Amino acid sequence: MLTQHQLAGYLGKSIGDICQNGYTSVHDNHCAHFVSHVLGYRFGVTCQAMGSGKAPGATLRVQELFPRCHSAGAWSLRPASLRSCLVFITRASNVNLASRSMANVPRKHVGIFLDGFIWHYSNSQQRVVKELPAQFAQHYAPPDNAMFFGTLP
Amino acid sequence: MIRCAGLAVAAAALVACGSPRTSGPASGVLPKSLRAVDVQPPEIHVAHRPPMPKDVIEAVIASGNVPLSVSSSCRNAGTEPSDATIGRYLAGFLAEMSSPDKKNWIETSIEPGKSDAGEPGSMCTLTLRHEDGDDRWGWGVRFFVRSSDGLVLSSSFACVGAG
Repeated sequence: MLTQHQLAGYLGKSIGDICQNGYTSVHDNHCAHFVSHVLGYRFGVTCQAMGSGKAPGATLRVQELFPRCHSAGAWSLRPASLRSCLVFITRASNVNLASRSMANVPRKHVGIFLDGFIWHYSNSQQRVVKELPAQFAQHYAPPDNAMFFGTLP
Repeated sequence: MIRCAGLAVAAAALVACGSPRTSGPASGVLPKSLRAVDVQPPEIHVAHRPPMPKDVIEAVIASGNVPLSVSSSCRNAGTEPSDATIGRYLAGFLAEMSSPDKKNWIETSIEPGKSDAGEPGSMCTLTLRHEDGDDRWGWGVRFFVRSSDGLVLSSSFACVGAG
């Protein structure tokens, strides 16, 4: 079970500290990459396939995480009992909840929600950060800041 | 200069290589041998071996019709679900580079390597990059160019990028 203590161990780390497959360019977007290393997701395109290492790969793309969530919906409508989940932010029109799909648009981001906080990889700061949902909601300017929950794959 | 070869007819080659269409009879009255459905994908050869950055960019432009089904890495890679080709996929991200206030650039890399068949050549990557605070991404393609004749292996195309 995911714990705050486990996530706290990633705070402040760069993707170079986390990924052993060499997929660590500061110019790439590592939000899904971070989430997948923490939670062990290895489907779709991985850092092992795209990088140079032999360590277990981690999923790289947000649009490949979203369909794997067992249930998903608008952030404001998430079940009160949901203690941990993935949290996505993008333009609402990029998301099709009925088909559980998300387009590969440039402005989309994902983090891990646990016990009231969101851990995610800040690509501008090049490190893992911990924020409140209200702070995470400002990751992109409107209209690219619609938030969605997805239960952990 | 990229050479297009292996086409059944010169007219088809012009279309396949991206030259402007010329006026002529409607496709419905063309002999079967001239109809677009019979056109084979053009063979693309780069001008230099190993390729130069300009050759990589030209090869990608000329490969715009390669279907995204060429690689599982290109599944759902387009900015719209209906995107079906490498050209449409890249166009979606190029269209996001229109603001003069943002940082955008094109990155190329050329590394020695071998094809799936063991032929020596160059693994080429083109990445479209954008940075504006947390709006940061790099999406592009990777493909192989054979050393012996500079052929771009269309079946080698893969989509690169994360986020």
